[in-house]
Amino acid sequence: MVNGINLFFQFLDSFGFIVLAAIGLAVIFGMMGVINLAHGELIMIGAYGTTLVANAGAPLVLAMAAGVLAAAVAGLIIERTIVKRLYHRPLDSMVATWALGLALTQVVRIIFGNSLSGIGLPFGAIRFGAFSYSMYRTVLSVVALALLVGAYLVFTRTEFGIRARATIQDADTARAMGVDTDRMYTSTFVIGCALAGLTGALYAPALSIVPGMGSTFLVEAFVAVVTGGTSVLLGTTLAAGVLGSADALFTNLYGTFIGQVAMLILAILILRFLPTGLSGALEDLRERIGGEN
Amino acid sequence: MSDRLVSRRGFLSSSAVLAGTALAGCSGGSASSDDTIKIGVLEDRSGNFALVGDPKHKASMLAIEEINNNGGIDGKQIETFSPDPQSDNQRYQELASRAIREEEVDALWAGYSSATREAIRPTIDRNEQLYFYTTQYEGGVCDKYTFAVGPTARQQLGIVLPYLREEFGPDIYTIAADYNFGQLSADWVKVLANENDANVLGEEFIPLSETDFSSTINNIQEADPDFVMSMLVGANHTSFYEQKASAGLEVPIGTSTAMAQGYEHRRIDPPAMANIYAGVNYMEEVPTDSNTQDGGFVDRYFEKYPDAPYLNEEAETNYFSTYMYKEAVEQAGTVEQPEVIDALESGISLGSERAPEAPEGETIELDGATHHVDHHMWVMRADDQHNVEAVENRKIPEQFLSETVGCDLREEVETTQYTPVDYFEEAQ
Amino acid sequence: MSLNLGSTLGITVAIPVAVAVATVVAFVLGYFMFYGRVTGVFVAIITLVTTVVMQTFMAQTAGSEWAIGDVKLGGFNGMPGIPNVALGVEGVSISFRGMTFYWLVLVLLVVTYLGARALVNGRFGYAMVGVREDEDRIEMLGYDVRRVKLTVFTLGGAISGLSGVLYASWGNYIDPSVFTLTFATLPVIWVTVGGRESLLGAVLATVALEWFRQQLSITGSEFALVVVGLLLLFIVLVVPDGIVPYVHEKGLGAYRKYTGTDDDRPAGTPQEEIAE
Repeated sequence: MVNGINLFFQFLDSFGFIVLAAIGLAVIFGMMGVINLAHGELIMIGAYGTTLVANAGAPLVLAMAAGVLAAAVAGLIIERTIVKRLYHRPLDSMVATWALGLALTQVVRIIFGNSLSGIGLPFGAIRFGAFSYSMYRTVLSVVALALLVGAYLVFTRTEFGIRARATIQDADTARAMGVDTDRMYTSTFVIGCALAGLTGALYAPALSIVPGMGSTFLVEAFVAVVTGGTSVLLGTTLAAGVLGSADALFTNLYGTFIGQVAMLILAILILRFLPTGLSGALEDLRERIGGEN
Repeated sequence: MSDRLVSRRGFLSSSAVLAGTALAGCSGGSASSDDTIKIGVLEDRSGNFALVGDPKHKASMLAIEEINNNGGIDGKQIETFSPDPQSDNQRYQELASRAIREEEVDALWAGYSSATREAIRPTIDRNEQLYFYTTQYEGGVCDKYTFAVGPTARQQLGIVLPYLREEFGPDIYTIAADYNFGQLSADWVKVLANENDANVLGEEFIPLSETDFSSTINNIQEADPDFVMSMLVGANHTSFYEQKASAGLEVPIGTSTAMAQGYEHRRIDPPAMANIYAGVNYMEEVPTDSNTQDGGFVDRYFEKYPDAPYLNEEAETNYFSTYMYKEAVEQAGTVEQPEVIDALESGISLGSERAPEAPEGETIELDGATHHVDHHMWVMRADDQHNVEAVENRKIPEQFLSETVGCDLREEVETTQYTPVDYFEEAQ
Repeated sequence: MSLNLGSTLGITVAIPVAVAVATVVAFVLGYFMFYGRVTGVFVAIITLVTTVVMQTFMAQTAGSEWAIGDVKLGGFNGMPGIPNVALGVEGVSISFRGMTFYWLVLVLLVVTYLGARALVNGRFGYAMVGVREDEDRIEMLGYDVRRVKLTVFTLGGAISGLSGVLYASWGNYIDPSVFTLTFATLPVIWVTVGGRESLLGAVLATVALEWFRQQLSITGSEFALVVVGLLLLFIVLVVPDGIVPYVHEKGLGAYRKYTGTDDDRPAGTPQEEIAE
């Protein structure tokens, strides 16, 4: 039985999760063409930073800021020492980031043990008749949406965003026009890592804090990035919307497993029929309509 | 991702064979010299299962150290082969092979998950290697060379489900991880519900990768059961407990998986685990003398490992089964495996005059016919401060293989795993 | 993608069937991608996602309704009791185990290697190298790039299928962990370390790396995975073309120096194609 309110809350939950899982990966992949297989580990760093600082007694918001900072610093180091050398070798950057992820997980395990004690979920529940929802998970979807809007504004309305996009589209010309492309790459990578860190920070109260926790996000992240297609932010939004709806609807009707399967099958269909992804298809459509006018 | 080339595993396994045969050639079949016994301990200290595997490794080492300090087994010191399989089944296959062929271990302890056990069982059986599997599991393994000494789903659910039925009422909602262990456990809930005049209102299987439980929570609220049976597994599923607390779901929950293995009540902020009832043979808080008194099991463990986070269910099983092995070798008077297996099958009990007590209860017995243990089972409840107390306990024998299936490994050599669906209408 | 069929068909028949299934799956997936004009890193991501979909699906097939013939898929716990590789008909057959299995794998490896060598050195090999170096130009020359890619991808699938058969019968067991991200990434790692453009490199790197990883795991050290990670990073950063081409080049340099042959290229010139 489909219950509209339940469905809506489940959609919010699913949408928020997909956006937050994918956004860091999407920025780095879409803007730089680098597949960051250490994405999950950066999320983990964000969550560890948050949990450690919160357990030391700091307020949650401050702890989350610390988590984001930790991931951003890690991102800066990774970019400067590793990714920088591999910009024109996407497969090698995959191997390098995979190896890095492997080492990072184990280093964290050695230093902090097999788990950290968690921080409880803040806020209470929203009640609706016999049903109730975790307030915090609902807030996360709002944060996800705000993040998308914020990132969109940064990449379209600011000086930095224009330079960054110029670098992506044509690095040589951008350099000729006086853009420090090296710095653009670095900042984009760091922003992507900070976003991954933010995901970790936001989900730290909701998940088990273990070294391998990053892998929880990988499937949704990759699926969303692939189905989203060429235009990063638009793509992520569309992918999260479409996949989140499928997930929520089928989960509601037939349970969580069917929900996941429906989402993955939908992703494969999208890829077959819209090879440029959802955002690419939307742009084509827009052009066609624009062409007719 | 196309593996363009023929697998190199052939090389590895075969070179292991090569070296193994060479070794066997010079030593005449038995690697352990006359004054030592070699034990293989393959437990995860890194990777996904490290959280639960590490205490198993530590407890094995503790038991071995204690035995060695007290003169060994029949005067022989124990040597160990203890690599780290890194939660990787392929590594387990390689290392089990190596333990048997190159290290020529006299007994092998290996693996946390059922998948790992199934991955190495072909190797174990082919080499007729004495093997102890110490995790609590779905039950039903009837195997000449495998001693599955952890409690089975029927034993764990068999203590907690009747208790909750008595306390709260007959209506049950089952949530379980969507794989072999979870599905079989859910079948056992149905069988036990039938035996205890309870009804299963609904059951839901959740993929291991899932972390979002909002629809599950809604479904539970819609079904409005008297209690929930939860067989959720792993780090991802732990978020269910926080999420249901945050959503204000206050129904009592019975479980065979939470708290005793991954010590969620220590890791998660209270009161997420409040009103959760675990059916277990052991957890650190089990109030027996041999466990909690000064110099008891808990004290000895944390003296050896002051930084260890928790002493879990499987750790105890590793610990007492090492003592069971000691008893069997001393009874057989040899480490030759067929004789030791015979001795184990004659029925070893701990807590008798000769052998020390198991931390879980005064006496526990190994059933020779099924290679399983008649455990002392406990219902442990967490309160809203996450303090854990025992609310019920009694001995529960292994029933499925012995009574329902009629497995008798002393009479017939088998290497099968039986499932409840073949025997119970309720589980269909 | 290691695919395997159960024992229902008779083992000798099962091997070509399993390879055929893997080949067909690779063909279909390849058709989806290359004729859907999917290119570059997207191909990598799609193959990874496909693997993960398979993993999610296979892990929940524990119930008895999931079965092919009499063989249950077994879900997360996998399928035990996979027989040894055997050739022949009733009465006259060889079963491969232990040493004989080793020789079988070695022979298959050599045959596969030689086959791949022949392919790369032949006419089709030029087309392949051409596609790798410059897709547009090779298309101008009248080659169908999509077809070349699909052929290579399908061939890769067939060889993977063979390796899947060998893997499953080596341990007499298979489970969904062969569909994990790690399992899918490992071959990429081996090939990268050995040298992406060198067949021999892939073979040597695979043997060396796996031996090394196993030795580390035997030590039981908690630093094992850290060491593996750092070693891989080091290789990717310092020996970008892979170890075998690197050694080949250095060796050639030393040989030239020794024989006094002139190497008229200035130092640091990118090495020539080693189309092994």
